[in-house]
Amino acid sequence: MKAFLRRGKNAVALLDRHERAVLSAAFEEVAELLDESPNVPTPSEADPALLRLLPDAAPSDPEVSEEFRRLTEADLRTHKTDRLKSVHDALSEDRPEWTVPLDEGLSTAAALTDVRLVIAARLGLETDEDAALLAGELDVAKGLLEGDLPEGLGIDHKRIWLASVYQALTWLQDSLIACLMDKKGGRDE
Amino acid sequence: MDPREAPETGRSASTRLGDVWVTIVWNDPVNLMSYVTHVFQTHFGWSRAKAEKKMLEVHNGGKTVVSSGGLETMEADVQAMHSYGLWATMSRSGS
Repeated sequence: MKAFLRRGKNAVALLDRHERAVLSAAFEEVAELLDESPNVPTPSEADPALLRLLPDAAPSDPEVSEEFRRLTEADLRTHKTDRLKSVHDALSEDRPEWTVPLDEGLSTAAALTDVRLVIAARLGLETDEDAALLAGELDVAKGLLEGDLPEGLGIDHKRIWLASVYQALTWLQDSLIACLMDKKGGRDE
Repeated sequence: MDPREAPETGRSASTRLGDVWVTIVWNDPVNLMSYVTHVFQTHFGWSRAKAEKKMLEVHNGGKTVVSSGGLETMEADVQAMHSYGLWATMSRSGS
């Protein structure tokens, strides 16, 4: 995997077939979560991942929150789902380059955020410290897996897998935004 | 007896309509500092310097007020922030 770099009016990353398959599935899963889940009920009952995609807009004023959901939730779901599906389609093409036109860069970055939000909720990341600890956790797990320790000792494989996908998405998003901000640079200072 | 009483009652109905609301963006462990800056620049049309200053308020202070105005305007801003995946809420100014 190679991070996004500017190439003319595009940002281009390189992913092998396996990486594309993993990431395109992640985008598809989040699109399905938004497509298939019912309307967000009371926040306390909702799936934390869904609640992070469609947060409570006015916690101090339930009436306003409810009105906001009534007015915006369907549009937000459609908007996010379309964006996720479009990235899924781009990653489903059988070529190593993931090419994102710069003028679609923010939309792709936003889809990356949505997938990262869902994975973060699944991993229970709630604070900046949790996120920092995750990187360490991943390093330790990799060390254990590569070392001579008994197979699977203390390793939650599913969690480590999710954390690796999260880390890859973060790294890709960071490089994509660098391409976008580079485009903007100098114009508004 | 008290001349201030009448205008006071009359006001509560009209303040509701004219209430000033604020949109607040909260810190979260997921959104990258560069992304938040870029979203602020794009949506609010801020300079890079201002967007970075507001982003740092979120990152270091936990939250910042990004806009204020009527309820409908704030609903549009909150919807835009949610569309970008930022954690935003709105509340009555001063509450």
